[in-house]
Amino acid sequence: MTRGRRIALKVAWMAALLGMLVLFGQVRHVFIYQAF
Amino acid sequence: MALNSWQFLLFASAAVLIVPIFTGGARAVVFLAFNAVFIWSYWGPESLPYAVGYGLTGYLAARLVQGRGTVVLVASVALLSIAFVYMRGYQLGGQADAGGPGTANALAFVGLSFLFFKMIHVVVDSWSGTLGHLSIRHYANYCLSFTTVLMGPIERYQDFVAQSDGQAPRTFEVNLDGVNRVLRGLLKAFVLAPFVAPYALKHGLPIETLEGGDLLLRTYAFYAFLYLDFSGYCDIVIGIASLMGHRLPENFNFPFLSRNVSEYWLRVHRSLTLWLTDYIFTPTYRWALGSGGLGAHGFLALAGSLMLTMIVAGVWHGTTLNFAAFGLVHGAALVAVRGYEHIMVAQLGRARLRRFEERPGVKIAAIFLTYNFTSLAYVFFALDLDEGIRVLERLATTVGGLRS
Repeated sequence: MTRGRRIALKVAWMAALLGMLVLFGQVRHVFIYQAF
Repeated sequence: MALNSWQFLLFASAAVLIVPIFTGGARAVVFLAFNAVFIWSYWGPESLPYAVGYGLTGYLAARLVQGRGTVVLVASVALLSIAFVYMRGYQLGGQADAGGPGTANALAFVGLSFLFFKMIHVVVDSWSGTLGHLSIRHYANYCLSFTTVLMGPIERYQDFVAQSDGQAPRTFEVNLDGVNRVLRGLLKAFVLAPFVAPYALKHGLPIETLEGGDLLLRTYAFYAFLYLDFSGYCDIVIGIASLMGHRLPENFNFPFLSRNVSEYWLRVHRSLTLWLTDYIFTPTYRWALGSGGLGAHGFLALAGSLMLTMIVAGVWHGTTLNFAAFGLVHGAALVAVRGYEHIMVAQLGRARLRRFEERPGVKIAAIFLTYNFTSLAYVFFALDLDEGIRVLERLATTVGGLRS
């Protein structure tokens, strides 16, 4: 795989992650380890 | 400053852009300023004096023990440990506190347990002469770094100092991977973990009336929740640190694929496991072997050291008795794994045992058993002791087919 294609794939994947975060992200979440 | 807030996005972006501009002392000062802003948002005026006072005590202890005898070291570690126990407010007869900082108060500030273990590491290594140069600016940033202060990973002081100028490579692709890692962590922690959470074990369930299958799924779901929650956090901070040219230790490596409990602890919260190995297990084991009597018996020394290590691991996680039980069952499992290896090596020899363990069927069975054991052990992480035992009893009489 060429460097350009690899980067393009990574950017597309990041865009998908960001989209999922915006659509489904929960605002209120307390990490369980914060209790420790 | 929640890690999914706009404030944190701006804060972390500014840190990633500004901190790497500087080197040496200037970088340390700028980084400290960022760390101060971050911890202020968590500790506030109530906790800050205690946190700073406790941290400074650790620094003074690390200075004090340099070149001195074992008594000074033991006294210093004891002082820090007693202060930790007092500040955390242990209530071994009380309710479990997992699921949120329910018992948080000014003394038991966020990140106290992690600060405690970091300080013990610095003090012991300072005493043994393996710490290197101890400077207040590196120490302050090491203890307060916004990438590790809340919940680890438990980095070593030497690794922190060695990278204090941001030595890790920062090419375009490395930076892209860093952002990718942050996004992946955010997705795990703020989308997937909250999605799983409603199906996980929690306080107040009608345990005796739930179907066994439902209870088992809730046990699995808690494991998944904990993994997504904590490994998501680790992805976020490891990604941010890499964008500043700093490589943090990894904490997770697909724990679901562990083939025994010993391997599990190297795949889950690995930085804690390595800390426990260096500062609890190894000294205890050495001491037991050299103490004569029963302790000189190799397997007993090993078993006792493993049990103590895991009980410490348990009570480090929480202030109530269920966490001691969590440590106890894991300690017993580790002893069982070592005992099994001991017997199998005696029966088959190392080479044949290795070949046996590499068979696909044996691998799958080992993963299945380990996954179920570690899932079931989490009942003592998610619930208080009484509830945890009731869940196990209910599972034994329903899924397990045992008569009550």
